[in-house]
Order: sequence, then C-alpha cells, then structure tokens
Amino acid sequence: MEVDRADGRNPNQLRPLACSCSILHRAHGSASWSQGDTKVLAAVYGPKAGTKKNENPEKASIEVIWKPRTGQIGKPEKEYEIILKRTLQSICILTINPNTTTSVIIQVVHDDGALLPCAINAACAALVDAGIPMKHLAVAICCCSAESGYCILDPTKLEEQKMKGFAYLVFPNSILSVLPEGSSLVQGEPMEHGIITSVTHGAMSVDDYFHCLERGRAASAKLSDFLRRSLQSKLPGDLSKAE
Amino acid sequence: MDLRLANMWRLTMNEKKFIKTALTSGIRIDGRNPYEYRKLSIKFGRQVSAFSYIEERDTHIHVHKWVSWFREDGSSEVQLGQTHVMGFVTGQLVQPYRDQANEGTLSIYTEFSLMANPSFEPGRLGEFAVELGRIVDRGLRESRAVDTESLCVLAGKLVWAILIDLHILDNGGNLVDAANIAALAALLTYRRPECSLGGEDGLEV
Repeated sequence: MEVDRADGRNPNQLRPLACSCSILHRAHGSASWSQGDTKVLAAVYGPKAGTKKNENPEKASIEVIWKPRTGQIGKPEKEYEIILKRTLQSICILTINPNTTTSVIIQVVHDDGALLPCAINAACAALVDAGIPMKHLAVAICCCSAESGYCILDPTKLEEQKMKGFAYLVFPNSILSVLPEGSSLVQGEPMEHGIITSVTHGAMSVDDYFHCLERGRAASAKLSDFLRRSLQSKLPGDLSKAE
Repeated sequence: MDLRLANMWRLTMNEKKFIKTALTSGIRIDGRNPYEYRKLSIKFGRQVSAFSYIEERDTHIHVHKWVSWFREDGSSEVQLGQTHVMGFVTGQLVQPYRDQANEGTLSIYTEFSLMANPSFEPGRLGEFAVELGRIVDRGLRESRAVDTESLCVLAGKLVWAILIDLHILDNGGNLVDAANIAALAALLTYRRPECSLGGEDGLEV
C-alpha cells in the first residue's frame, strides 16, 4: 500500500544517518549519532571502582544518565534510563570486571522522532569507543503502524504522533563471521534473528506487531552495516590481520 | 559516594611542579602566550556555524573572520579549545512575581554533568556548578542583556519566563568564559513566539 510521507520517503526508507566517535576529550569514550534531525550525544566513563548498594558486586554494573534537552529530569527520562540500562546490560560482558560501575551519559541534542533508538545506537558506538568488552553490538530501530495496517520505519516526530502505535525494537548486530557458517547459530537460527528489547506505545494488533518486527529486522541489517563501516574506520589496520 | 572520589582526575606532584616552574618562566604548557586565547568556535542551531579567532595584539583584542548565519531556535554549541558547552533557550508563559508585575523572568539552569567530569554526582549540584550558574546569571541580569520589560504580555497576569539551559559537555578549563558565550549565543538566536491577546482575557500564541 502506497503512503505519502511528509518528507517524501518510502515506508522502508531510513533517514540519513551520521555517526562520529571520540568527540569529547575527558570522557573515555564518546559518540554522536544522528538520524535525520534527531541527534544524540553519548559519553562513557570506563569501569570505576565500586557498585551501588542494590547492585550485584559479583558483576560489573552499568549506570545510565539521561539528560533531556531542556528542563529537569522527570519520569519519562527515568524510564528511558531503565530501558537503556537493561539493553546495555544484556550486550556487555559483565563478568570481566566485577564490582565496577560503567557510566553511560546520554545528552539529547535534538528530538525529531525515534529518540530512544538513536540513543541506543549512540550508546553502543560510545561503548566501542571506550573499549568496554561486549558480546555483540545492538542496533535499534523504530517502526510505526497506522490504521490501515501498513507500517513505516524511522518516523519523524509528527509521524509518530499521528500513528496508531509505534514500537522501538533493538536487534543484535549482524555478525561478519570469520568462522565457518553454522558455528554462530543459537538454537538453529542465526543470531541476528533474536531480539533484545521491544518497547511499544499505542495500540496495534498482533499481526501488525509481527509485521513491524519483520520490517525492522530487515532494516537492522542496513543499520549494522553502517555501524560497522563507521566504527571500522577508527580501528588500526593490523587488527584484522591479527585474526 | 566516597568511592567515586577515588576516580577523580588528580595531578601528580611532579606535574604540579612542572606547570608552576614553567609559568614562572613565562611558558604555558600548550605553548600559548599568557594572554592568548584558544580557538573559539560557535555553532548555532544544528547546521550553521560562526567562526571567530580572538587574538591579543598590543592590548587590543581583535576578532577575525566573523561569519555567521542564524538559525532561529535558540540553541548554541561553543567549543573553546577542548572545552565544550551547549546552551538551549526556551520560553514559557507564567504568572509574574507580585513585586515585579510587569517584568518577565530570566533563569539559568546549569548542570555540570557527569560527561564533563567523572567525579560529579548526578542529582546534586556541586559548589562549582552553582557558582558558575550564578556568574552567568548575574552577568546577563545586571548588564541588562535581556530587556525584561519587553517580556511582559499582560501586566500582572502573564509574562514570558525565559529559561536558559547550559549543558557542560567537556571540561577542558575556562568554563566561565565558555558558559557565558554559550548563554549569550543561544539568547541571540532565540525568537520568542508571537502571541496576541484575543477576547476578554484570551491568549493566542
């Protein structure tokens, strides 16, 4: 079904992506990620001694601080912090540095739709920049579903508000394997078919949701490519030869 | 938390001694003259930028190559060497204070975030952050950079309250200057929404 989007994109098209790393000097790792007009800055401070009272001291813990563009920190920001923390906890290897805290600070520079996925992507890039050990990266995408059942990717703020419901989906990064095919399967399916996080707003039917999931998964392959290309240009050349 | 203090960036005794002896012989550690500024760059909105080079020559300060376009949404990003500060300006209609019934208000919110300094604790303003906020606030208020009387819409009932949010992204020294420039730059690009009075007491923006 054809749909007219305000900026002339087709339903499966993402906005122009831009990612830059190592922009801050004091932070151990930093990255800025922008999708169209939405721009987020993430900074990571590497493992610091000690964990908070409620955290498990046998594992490393991750602390997320979300700073909105204007105004004080309120409940929506706390919710984003919790979602981001859980997502990052599942991709980082927490057993390597027990009893430490890694802080991730997210600063919203501009919000034009798909803010949380943008922040998750920025946080991943910043964690790579800081050298925090991770199992794999995560790519996040936002899908909206409208009344007539079609779904569009990467909405702007106006589109998000008009739609019936939207979902933020986070998938694991697709693996560029140096091992033979078949060795990275988890329960018979390639790992990138898994899903890390899903946050939904509004109402959508089960079919709509699965439809969004498929579209999102297809688009996440493009996002992973982009992420890999922009991070690989920062790596020294002989790392790939060392394998 | 006490544990956090252990992660502060501390200077060793040798480094302190080196910096002091270098200063007494007139050398700064990054090779600048005593009155020389670092490169300053200001970005407005999200796409356009202004570039300025401040130099001290025979006690006159020259500003070179000032080229600027303005994007009217009240945001600025200032980089002074390694120091990085962002300023955002927003406005809201509120009821005025009783003793200043026909003047708008200007308030500055500075958060010295964890991004800039690993020893800072979120949710609690450190002394320096409060002091920085007060310096910027007094500078703008007492120099009357903002004409608060023009912010009045309906005397005694509704005025504009301008809130300036300063986000310190990177602390590379001289935050006072960078924060002041960011606040002023953000104010320069801010345009408050038009509002007109309609009906008996109605407001339309």
